[in-house]
Formats: sequence, structure tokens, C-alpha cells
Amino acid sequence: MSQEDAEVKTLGAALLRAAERGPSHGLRFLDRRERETFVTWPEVLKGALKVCAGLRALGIEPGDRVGLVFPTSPAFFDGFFGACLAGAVPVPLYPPVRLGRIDEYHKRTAAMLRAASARVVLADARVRRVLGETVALAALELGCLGPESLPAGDAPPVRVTEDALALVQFSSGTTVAPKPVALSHRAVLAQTRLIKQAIMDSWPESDALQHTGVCWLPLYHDMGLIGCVFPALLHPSTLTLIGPEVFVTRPATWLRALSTYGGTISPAPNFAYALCVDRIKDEQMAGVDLSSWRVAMNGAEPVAPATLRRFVERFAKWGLRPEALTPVYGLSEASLAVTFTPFRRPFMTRRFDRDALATGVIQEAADGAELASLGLPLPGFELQLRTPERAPLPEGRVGRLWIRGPSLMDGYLGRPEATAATFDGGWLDTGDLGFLWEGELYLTGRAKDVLILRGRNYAPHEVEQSVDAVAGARTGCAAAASWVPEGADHEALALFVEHREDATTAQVEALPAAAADAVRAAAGLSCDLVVALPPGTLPRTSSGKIRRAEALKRYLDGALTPPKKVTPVHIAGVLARSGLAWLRSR
Amino acid sequence: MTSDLSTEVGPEMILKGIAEAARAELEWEGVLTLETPLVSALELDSLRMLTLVVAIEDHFEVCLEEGDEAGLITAGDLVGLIQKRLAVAE
Repeated sequence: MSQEDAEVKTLGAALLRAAERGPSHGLRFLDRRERETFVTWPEVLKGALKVCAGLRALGIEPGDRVGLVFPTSPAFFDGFFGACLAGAVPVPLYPPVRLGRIDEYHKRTAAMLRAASARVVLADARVRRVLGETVALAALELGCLGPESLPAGDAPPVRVTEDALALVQFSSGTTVAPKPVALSHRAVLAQTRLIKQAIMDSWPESDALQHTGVCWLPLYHDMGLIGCVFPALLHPSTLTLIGPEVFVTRPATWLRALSTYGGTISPAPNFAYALCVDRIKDEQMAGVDLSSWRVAMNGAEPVAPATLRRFVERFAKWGLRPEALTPVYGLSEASLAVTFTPFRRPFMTRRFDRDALATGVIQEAADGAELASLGLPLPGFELQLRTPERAPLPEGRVGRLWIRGPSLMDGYLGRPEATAATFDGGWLDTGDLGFLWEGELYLTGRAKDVLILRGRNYAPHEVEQSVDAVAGARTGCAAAASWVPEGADHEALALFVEHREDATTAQVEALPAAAADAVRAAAGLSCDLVVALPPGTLPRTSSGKIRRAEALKRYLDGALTPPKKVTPVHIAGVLARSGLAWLRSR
Repeated sequence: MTSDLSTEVGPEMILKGIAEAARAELEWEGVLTLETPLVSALELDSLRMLTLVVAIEDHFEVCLEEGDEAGLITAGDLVGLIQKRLAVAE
């Protein structure tokens, strides 16, 4: 690591240093017509200083939380770095989606603002028009303001220590007890240096190679903010930013930007690579050259070997380097990355015996289940697989992944009990299940209840509560779980719903389709599998909590059966989306 | 289609435009009527909804805004919203 990088102790200091280096680098914003707006690092600093002064004039003190609701735009950075310079703690949250369900949005956003105990929210004018109810629900002391409508002031930046909080991020959006991940400047800068160092070690800069990133990831997501923006800031270099909605509606924009600007680094979740293969047409790739792209990290959701291969095959003729595809593993609680597969090495998959895997033992088998290696721990990180009772397991056994390293969160803000449950000494429980094989990490599933769909985490409760109002559904008796079926290129969402004792046959038959509609309307998610079950079928803990992972496991094993006393129909109704080969084969 | 035509754009034309956008961008095959429930018929999860929104914005050269969803259930509701936006664009 360079001595200079080590001397940068806070994000504010990193911005001051990037600005001192002059206007040759900065942030480039592309709109949906691929028109660019370039904001140099000195200009980013100028905007941030204004917001810093405004926030201080408003009475914001060091350590206060400042919510940020912006699309990918220069104003996001005015707000983000303005809060940093004021010694405050930015809390980036996602903006509402057009024609999305605004009532759900208000509830979720208000819950996150309350959990972070934000004093004020900064938002752009368009968002502010619809944010009133959120602000009312969150009972924000200072309300919602635009960066331009802050009071004028000339207060200078506030110096904070590296142990001060740098930002708060949410691992998943939920109305029920959201967990605000509190990250110190020390943690986020340690993570940023690790990413930068890994890239510079493998691809040193020269006259012929200057690193520059391209990012379409949301800025309220760790992979976008910490994985893309912070390395560009620390280096400093130029980062090209594309709004997530531009990417999901026109994925070719991403690859064209990599080509136009000679992007060397650009990460994305697995679904994005699949979306490119499925949606980009040859004519949209005219003149595109992807050979500058050295590192295409694939993380934030399970990595599907099928997707990696399809992407490499599809885009090889536009110069894509097969070794660019780099499966990685990380989580918000570790700031971001924990393992990288070695750069310059093609991604590696192995096949493991399914029956042995099911019993937690690892044996390679030529016709076994294929898993992608997620690589080696980053310098300073340690991995440990443990039993549910926290006893360490040897290599080659499946267990619960615990990690230790330099960029772990301080804890969940204001949630000491949740923090205590996650840490054991300096070790953090990831809630992920996996194993080490020849020193490299492979993941097999999750012990924690979280759905990971299109790179975003969802609380199962969000899906489950949307079916409570469906005719014939037993209130509070649904379980949502997601997993990657073998050969599929994304996680599938399964929903198990118990029907009411007094439900009519017609209601039970209509239940799967009606439940899928309800989930789509309320949560914006498509279910791949909906199963209606007789009352009492879902496995529960002794205290009556539904065991989601166990329900899914039993269903996949063909062992999800109703209690003996009720046996009119076993599996009352199933709705499976046609897209998945695995589901077709059942 | 440009906004100077919008005075003549009746509900049928708009409905046809929505159906075209859905067919082109969502690979949806079906018959759209004013009564069609949008979310279930077009299987609009958040990704497909966003794709449809952008396709409609491009097709009609209008801007749909955050908060526009209130009361939007059928294709007819969406037609009404687009008509309103086209009128503003005049």
C-alpha cells in the first residue's frame, strides 16, 4: 500500500486530497441517451463544501445521521460528501421507482430512517415531491430538504477521527426491524485500500494502462458506493456512472460505456451478466471493444457457473477477456469484499458429490453439483467454518461461515442485541453456509433468513406479509425462501402458503396464482414457485416460528408433508414459472 | 410518435402503443383491453415495471413521475395517466 494512501484517515480527507490533485479526474455521469456530464474532483469538493456549510448552519452536529435519497446524479455526491465534511454520517437510501408501490416505499424508507435515527433527509426536487409521507412517518426532526435549499453558511469542514462513523448502510430493506450497518472511516478505507491494492498488484498502471471504473450499481448499495466510488476517490481516478434504471432497461449502455471510456474495472451481481446475455442484441454492440475490461467482479448474490460461461461465450467476439470474470464474496457487514478469486486467473468451478454435500461432507465427483470458487480471503481477512454450536470445522466440511478482518462493521446502529448475536470475539457470523476446498471458498446456501434477488437482499417477511390478504390464505402462515436451482442462472424465489381450514376448494386451487400476483404487486418480485399447503404443514420451532430454510429443504427433498390428522390433499396446488429447467423437470 | 400528434391520440391509440411497448420490451403476447389488470397480466415485477415505464416514456415522449402510481390498476388507468401527461406536454 502506498504510504500516502495510509495517511488518508477519513472519506473527507480522501476527497480533499483527490481535489488537490487537480481537475484531470472526476465523476462522469451518463444519462439514458448516453450523454455525459463530467464533474471533476475539485468540483465535487466545491459542491460538498457548500452542503457541509449548509448542514452546519442547520444545526447538524458531528455524528448526526443524514438520510440521502437521490438517483445517480451529481447532487448525490454534494449530499454524501457534504455530510462527510460536516462530520455527519450519510445514510444513502433508495429513491422511489416510477409506478412502483409508493405506500410500501414510504413504510420501508421511514423504517430505515427511524432505525438510523436520521435528523434530516436530503433529496432532489423530484423525489421531495413524493417524500412527504415518508418524512411524516419517520418523524424527522429537521424534515426533508434539497441540497440547494439548505441555509447559507460559511462553516468549514469538521475534522473527525478514523474511528468515527463514515456511513450507515442497510443490508436489506424491510419494514420490520431493519438493521443499520454502522461502518467507521477506518473500516471503509481499509476495504477501499484492499480493493485498490488487489487491482494495482495484478495490473500495475503504466503509460499504456490507466485504471478507470464503470458503475451502474445503485449508490445506496455497498458494491456501488464502496466498491466503485471509494477506490476512484482514493486513487484518484475517473469513474463513469450510469443510473441503475438505465442499465436494467438498456443493458448495452454498460458495455458500450466500458468500451467508450476504456473501463478496466466494473463489478456487478450475477443477474446483470445474465441480463446482458438475454437482452443485448448484436446491433447494439457495433464498434464495441471490451478488451480494456480487466476485472468484472461477480458478487452480491450467488455466482452461477452457467451465467459466467454464457457471458464469456456471448461477448468473446467483442474482445471480452475470459479471465476478467471474477467471482467474489462479501457482505455489507464487512464493508463489502471478503474474498476475491485471483485476478488474471479464469474463474474456476468444481463438482462435488451431492449426497455427501447434503450431509456436510465434501467429495469431488465428476457428475456432482457444480460450484464456482469464490477465491481466497483478502489480506488481513480470516475465514472459519463452524458448526451451529460455533465449534470450528476442518477444511472439507460444510459449516457456517465466520469471518475476521480489517473492515468489519462496528455493529448494527442502536441494536446492541443484534450486534452481540452477530459477533463472537472479533469474529462475525455471516449467516452463509459453505466450505473451504484447497484454501478457496465455496458457498452452498444460507442459514440466515434472507432472500437475495437481482443482487438485492430482501427480508422474507416482505414477501410473506403480502399474501395475508389473499382469499383462503392462513394469516401469518407463509414462508418465503430463495435458492439457486442447479443449472439455473439466478436465485429462484419459493413461497409456501398454508390455506385456511375453512378455505373452499376453489380458493385453494386459486391460491398459488393469487399469492404470486399479491407478491408481485406488493413486493415487486416474481415468484418462481408457489405451493399451497394444508394448515399445519410448515415446520415450526418450539416457539411457533416458521422455519423457512427447513420448509424449502423438505420441499426439495419431497418431504414437506402435512401433519397426519389433515390429509385431504397433500400438496394442494403448485404454481411454477416455466423459465426454470429445474422446475420443469419436477 | 411525437407530442404534436397528442391532440388526436385517443385511448385506443394509447392502448395500442402500450401493447406495442410491452410486446417489444417484455416479450409479452396477449390482448390488452382497458380493463386488463396490469400487474398480473403483464407479470410486472419491479424490473419489468421499470422496463415498461421507460418503453412508454420513449414511445409517447412523456415523463412518468414518482408518485404517479396512485390508483393505477388497469391498462385503462395507465391510458388515463399517459393522456394526462400528453396534455401537460402540449
